[in-house]
Amino acid sequence: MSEKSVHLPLRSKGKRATFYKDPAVDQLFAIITMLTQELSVAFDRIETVERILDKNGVISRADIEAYKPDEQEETERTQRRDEYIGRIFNILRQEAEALLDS
Amino acid sequence: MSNIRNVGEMVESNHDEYNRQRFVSILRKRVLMDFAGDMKTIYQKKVEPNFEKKNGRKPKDGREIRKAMLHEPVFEGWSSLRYNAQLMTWWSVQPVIERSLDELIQAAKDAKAANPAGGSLELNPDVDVPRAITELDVHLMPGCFHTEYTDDDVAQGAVYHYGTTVFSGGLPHRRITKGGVASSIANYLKLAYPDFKPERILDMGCTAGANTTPYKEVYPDAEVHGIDVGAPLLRFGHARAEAEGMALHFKQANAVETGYPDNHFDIITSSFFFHEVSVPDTKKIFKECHRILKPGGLMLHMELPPSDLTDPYYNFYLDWDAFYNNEPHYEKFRGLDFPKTLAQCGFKEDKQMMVRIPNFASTPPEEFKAVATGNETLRRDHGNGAVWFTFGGWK
Ligand SMILES: C[S@@+](CC[C@H](N)C(=O)[O-])C[C@H]1O[C@@H](n2cnc3c(N)ncnc32)[C@H](O)[C@@H]1O
Repeated sequence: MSEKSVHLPLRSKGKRATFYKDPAVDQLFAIITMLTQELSVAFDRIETVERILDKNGVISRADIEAYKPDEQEETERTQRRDEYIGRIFNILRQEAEALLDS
Repeated sequence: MSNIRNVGEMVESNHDEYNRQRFVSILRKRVLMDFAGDMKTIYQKKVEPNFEKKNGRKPKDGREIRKAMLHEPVFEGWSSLRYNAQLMTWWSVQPVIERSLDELIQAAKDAKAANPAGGSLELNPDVDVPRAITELDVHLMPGCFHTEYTDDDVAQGAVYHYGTTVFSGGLPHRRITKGGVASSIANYLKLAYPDFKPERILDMGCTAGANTTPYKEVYPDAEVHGIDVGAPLLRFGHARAEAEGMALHFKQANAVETGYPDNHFDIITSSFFFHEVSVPDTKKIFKECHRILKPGGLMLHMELPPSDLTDPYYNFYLDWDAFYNNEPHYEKFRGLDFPKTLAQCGFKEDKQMMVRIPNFASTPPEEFKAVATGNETLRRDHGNGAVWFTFGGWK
């Protein structure tokens, strides 16, 4: 395939929303959420490597890129991501939990 | 069928891209289900009682709730997550689309040239793209609906198509139901009005045609048209339809002034369209619909319900998009007096129609049929796409 001819913009036109008094917190929030995503992806990559090794005993990069989880495995991964997000952002849930307990 | 590559299925994400997309889908599910539930709990158990203590009454509308919630940590956190998940949705599909763009464009050209299904694509570069679209990237989608980066560009069509798949990929109801709104409306109409045999159907603000296609499936003998202002969306939609053997007619036009003759369509519809349109344009579009509708024809649009039909908390929740998702017209649209506005635009009150239609794919067929044939009124509310609010009228 040729050189990419077009670069799609990342920034959305319009004012960026802020939710905290200090916009630095909003920026940190964005960075942390992106990092959370990258860690999840790294986890997926490790999982792919492990699964291929389990099955074949050898591995190549092409195997990893071509790897497609079956439905059962995708469900397990989804569950893992779901719980992971729940753990990372648990702090946001604690107030509601306390109110429900009281 | 043809051996044309389908622009809607040909993009191949690599391992990490795919897993980024999956992450965003699950994050969005978390945000919209669990975290949103927490926010409601905090509202009910803390914010509303405090408000009542202070004011001797409950908040009267979404705005008052918003004011009371704005600095609650749960609102700040929930909003931040939701906002970031929205941006990350588009970002998660952009790299693979950039990489595949030349091939996508080629496939779209091939589809147009071969034209196996017999649909059509009519572009008009002079069409007046509303400021509502050029000034803000709606849904925070960078580049919005109309930007073209190269000749014969389909990029924004692809970003929208693949992005919305990620967007709803974690939600139980929507999982496999692209086009869920239209298949619900079309199936409803077919059951509710078995003698109504539409010859020509128009979908306004059709984007890439996800909610245009089902009309052709349900009414295969009808001529099905879609209009939008965004050329890259229409090219993409046309190419996908052709590859899937669906004869759809796409035209670049502003819904305010469609260019169709009087008394032309039997059904005019739209989905998730009006909240992006300014209120003055909304009225012009209703009038335009009335003009191009045949006598005896039906205009029926899907949107979120008007705020006078939903409770203040729900309005606060829904109006989030108006403030943060670059959909500034949402709140005003939902605040309209629907019956009055429709009447002003030609749709007599006694011929107006306002129905909640269950989502076809996730409703048991007997229940769907019972609702459509009027043997049962719908008990469930609109939520997560389980039920679609529609409004309009007969001419
Ligand atoms: C959220 S999208 C609709 C989604 C689409 N119906 C679907 O279900 O996939 C709104 C669309 O309306 C188009 N639009 C906005 N204002 C318009 C106008 N005045 N005339 C025609 N199209 C318009 C936008 O370009 C955009 O594609």
